[in-house]
Amino acid sequence: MHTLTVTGLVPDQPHRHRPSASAVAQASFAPAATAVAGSGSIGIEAPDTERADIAAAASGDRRAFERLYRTHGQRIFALCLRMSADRGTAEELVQDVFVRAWQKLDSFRGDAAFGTWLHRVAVNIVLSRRKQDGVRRERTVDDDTSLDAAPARAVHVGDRLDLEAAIAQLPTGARRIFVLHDIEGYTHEEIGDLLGITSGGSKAQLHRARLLLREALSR
Amino acid sequence: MSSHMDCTTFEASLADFLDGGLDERTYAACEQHRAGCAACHALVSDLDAIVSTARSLPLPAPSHDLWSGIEARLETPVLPLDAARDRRAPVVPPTMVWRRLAVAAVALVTVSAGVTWTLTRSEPAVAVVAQGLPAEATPVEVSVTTDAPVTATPGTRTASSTGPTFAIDTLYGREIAMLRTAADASLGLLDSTTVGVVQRNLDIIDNAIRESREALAADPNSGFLLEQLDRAYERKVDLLRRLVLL
Repeated sequence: MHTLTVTGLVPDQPHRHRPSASAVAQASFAPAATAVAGSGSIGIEAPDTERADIAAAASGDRRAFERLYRTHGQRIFALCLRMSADRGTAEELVQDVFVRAWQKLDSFRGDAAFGTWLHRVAVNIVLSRRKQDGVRRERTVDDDTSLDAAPARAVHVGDRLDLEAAIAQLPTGARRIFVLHDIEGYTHEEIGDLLGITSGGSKAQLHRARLLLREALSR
Repeated sequence: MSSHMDCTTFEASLADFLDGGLDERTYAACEQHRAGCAACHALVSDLDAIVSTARSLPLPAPSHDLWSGIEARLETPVLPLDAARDRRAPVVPPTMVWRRLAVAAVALVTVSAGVTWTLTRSEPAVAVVAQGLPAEATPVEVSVTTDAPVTATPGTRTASSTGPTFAIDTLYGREIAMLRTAADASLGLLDSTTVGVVQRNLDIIDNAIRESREALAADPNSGFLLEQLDRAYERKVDLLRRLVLL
């Protein structure tokens, strides 16, 4: 039987204790800060320069705020792109996120890492945008995409582009939960709070998303 | 749970098996089933690979730098410039003023590129005629698609047509004309109170522009007045740009 050719796969490892968060995949626009696993979302351990930039930006310094954008912008874009599955929408969302962050910066107390705080702002913006776009009929959490024909044969996930494309094709609800949980590291409880569903519902949607991805990648 | 698990039971427990939600006994039964079932083994391996790959996906980048669009939307309070008029004018050498204006021009073009891109990607290229908002100090007519020169309304410009005032008019006029047309569309979506506030702010800025030009006509070598005119224009562009991006 064909085995998957995915970097980092250890087929027989126990599955009981998966980490709650993943690391930053690659450097952001600016040299990356240290990635730390937070309680459900990605945190960026702020160096002194970032703390200074946060304080300066909160006082109205746009150049300092631009530096924050350069540091975190690409991660926020990745989140928006994967959540929305549309590049143009994602670029608009990123602008919305940073404009909102600028407006709310004085409310950032430093209790969490700035990256985590910004990430939360982004998720809320993406989700509220979805509500505003309710006129357009999209597939939802409750749609009836079939899972009956889950493949028994192995799939190819060797090309990451395949997976990106497959994620973009997921139904909206399943895609969001997959992105938040498996890519961004949110827990089911956090996702439940964000989406207004139970953690059990989040878990079921995540499993469904993974099976759909397997199905898509096996074609 | 029985240690002789079948595929249906295994699949029902799969989500918890993958994410660590099973008690030890059930987990051991799942492991035992997986070890002896090629299909379930492959299923777990595939899902594991998907999760593993998802965690290491590279960060995609936007198609262009988004900062200019963000910066254009950052809130800038519109201050009545009349208050500044009463302050004592600092001595600013004219050469320094021109240097600042050059920097401002570069910044304007850079920032506006994002706005222009936003406006032109979904709108057909048409000749733009400022309308909707009341006529102002520098009504201009300009084609978006050409480099046609800006035509200022006769009689509104008080300085020489080759002087610094004319240069500033030219610099900002084209941008303002294009933004105003797009801003009209945004205004149509706002309630009347907000439109009234916007209009009052524009009036304040227009007054500042007019007064600065009149003062420059009397004192054309004043670096301070030139800078005031430039700042007033800058505020107007910024306000219109934010309107467009609403």
